[in-house]
Amino acid sequence: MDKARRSGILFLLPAALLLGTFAIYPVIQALWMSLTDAELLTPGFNWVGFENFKTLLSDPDFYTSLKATGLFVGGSVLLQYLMGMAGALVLHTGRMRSVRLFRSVLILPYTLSELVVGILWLRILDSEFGVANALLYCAGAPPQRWLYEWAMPAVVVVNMWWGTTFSLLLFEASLKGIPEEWYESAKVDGAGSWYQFRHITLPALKYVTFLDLVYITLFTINTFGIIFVLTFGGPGHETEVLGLFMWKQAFRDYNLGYGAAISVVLFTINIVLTAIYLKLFGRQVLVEERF
Amino acid sequence: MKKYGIPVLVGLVVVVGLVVWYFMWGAKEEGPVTISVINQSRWSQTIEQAVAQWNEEHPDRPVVLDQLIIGYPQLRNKLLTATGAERPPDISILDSVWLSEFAQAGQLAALDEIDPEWYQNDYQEDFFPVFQRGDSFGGHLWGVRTQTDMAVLWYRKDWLSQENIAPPETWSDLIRVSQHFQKESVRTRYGNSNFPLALPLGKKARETLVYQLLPLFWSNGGDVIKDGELLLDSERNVETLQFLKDLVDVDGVVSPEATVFEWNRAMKLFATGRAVMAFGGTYEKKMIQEVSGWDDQAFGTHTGYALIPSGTGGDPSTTAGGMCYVLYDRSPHKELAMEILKRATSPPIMKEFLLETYQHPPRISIAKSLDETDHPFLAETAEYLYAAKSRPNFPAYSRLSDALQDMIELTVRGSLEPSEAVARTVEKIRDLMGDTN
Repeated sequence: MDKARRSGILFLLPAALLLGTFAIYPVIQALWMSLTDAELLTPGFNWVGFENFKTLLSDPDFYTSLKATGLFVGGSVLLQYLMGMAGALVLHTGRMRSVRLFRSVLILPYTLSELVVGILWLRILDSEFGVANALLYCAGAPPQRWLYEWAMPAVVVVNMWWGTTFSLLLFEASLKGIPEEWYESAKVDGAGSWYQFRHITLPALKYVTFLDLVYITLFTINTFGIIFVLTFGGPGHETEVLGLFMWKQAFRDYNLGYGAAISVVLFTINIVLTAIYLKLFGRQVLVEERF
Repeated sequence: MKKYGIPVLVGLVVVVGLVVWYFMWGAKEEGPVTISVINQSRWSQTIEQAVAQWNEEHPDRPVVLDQLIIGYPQLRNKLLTATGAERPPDISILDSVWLSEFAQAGQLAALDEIDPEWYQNDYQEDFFPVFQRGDSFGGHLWGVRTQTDMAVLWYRKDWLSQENIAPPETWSDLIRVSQHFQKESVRTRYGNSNFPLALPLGKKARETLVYQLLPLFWSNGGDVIKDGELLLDSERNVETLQFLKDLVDVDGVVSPEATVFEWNRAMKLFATGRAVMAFGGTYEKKMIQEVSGWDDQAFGTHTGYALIPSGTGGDPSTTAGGMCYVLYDRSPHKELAMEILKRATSPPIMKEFLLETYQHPPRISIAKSLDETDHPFLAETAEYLYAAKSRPNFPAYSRLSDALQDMIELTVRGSLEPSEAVARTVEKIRDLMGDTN
């Protein structure tokens, strides 16, 4: 091994160690635990093979939870992407006054922790004392039981409110990198705004869109803090996403083995979704020159 | 100089190691014993007083207190982590409903075995029978109740009095009073909402749901588990579920939104005058006062309290909750920790703590000594302890509670008929009983 190669490995070692300790080891441990009947309070465990997975696949709550996860993640990702893109375009075109102020205000939600966001919106959506119903009242509309009749849309909107900033900042930064000459040439050729957006902006943002979608999908699928505070998975199991289902099994009911099996399924879903995005965007999105 | 570098470094490490070893372990035999405690901040003073008392009585055997203070939401996870890592404290505070789980897992020490004399002469003589039953499991006592609270029905005493209506004692009273306050003319007078009765009916309220609604089952002659026998599968319990469902669907006195109420939602509706009556706990008195702005005198004028009304098959009833002090089986200083625990739950320290935090006494002697003029709420409601029951002391209690929460919510939401919900829950509990045997 030559000196340069050895130095390269040495430089990589700290990062590899960190990654191994905090990313790979937990995955391996979760996989191992999912094959046991480990419980939180009782020391020791027995090997049960794929029993936890069999139980999971025959558990109706798992399918309800899968459906809730699909709706929550699908709705949140779609809204966050659209709102982030729209906000970035508005900020980038600079047609709006006080862009800096607007940007600062938009960043605010992202500075709050998930639980704080949950508590804040719990107050806003309160059917008796909340601001949302007060506004409806002022508009002459009947009050709504937001977290009862509109539970899933409510948690999706709150999650969108919290997470849109990330997409917005990502897109806005990338928009600044698109050469202005491209748009000028297109204008000379008679291209309208929509044509420019479709044939210049969108393709130029392909890599960032891929990153944004992968990140917000994975983040949303693994998060449940907002739901925990707003609905705790209810009414019934309507908003009980996989993350919350896993938490309940592992930490409320002590079924660490079963909880680990759910986490393995969640991990698999993450991998599959990332693969789907790669397929949709083309593998070259990771290696090609962006502009 | 360079060639001495490594030996000097090694020498330094050895010297520092020896010094650290001496202070951490070497001197241990001679010094005071450290008692580790995991506690909540409100309770911490009782342990501090107990240790101070011990040190005053035994200057030759001093105790050093190592107390970790954490909030209730983190308590359970912290104790699970500590016991799972086989490093539990000597003493901890524990919610009484977790006792059987920790005891069954072999984590706790049986207090009656450590000090049989105290158990016989103090504990059995002075603690209310409900706690002697509720905090024992498998024939042993595993925790000492530090305080207690009870499920109650809060009602607007001033409004009921103005309407010449007696406080509800039965389910039909509950509906009758609620319907009276639904009348447009009455609502205009008091400003209450169209749902005069507030109570949680869903899993979002978590353990509060079971705590507040189990008395309804008891007050109709039903039960869940008693002395290890599963009693849920009864017509009485089906009736109770039907009653809860009807409160929303037929009588219309409870909001359908009650299935997504948080644990303190009913109290807030009551304290803000939106509800005329609410299911709650005695621990909510201070919260009601905070939300409403009532001082003690105004609270007495506006608020009445009663046991949870009865159905056709029983008497008004209530649940007794509260926190316990426990000792851990792995503790190397069990006898000494027991001495601290005895002092922390002794009448003088307990009474001071209870009056300061305004909670109910688990000791009969303290309950009898409460002055009705100074502490009317505590003195009056202490009597309820004779009608109180504990939630089932079942090793898989959290899963049992979850099954009961599911049963209630699914019934009220109309997903299952009451009889189906009972049958399904019975199956779940049978499975749990099989798991824990």
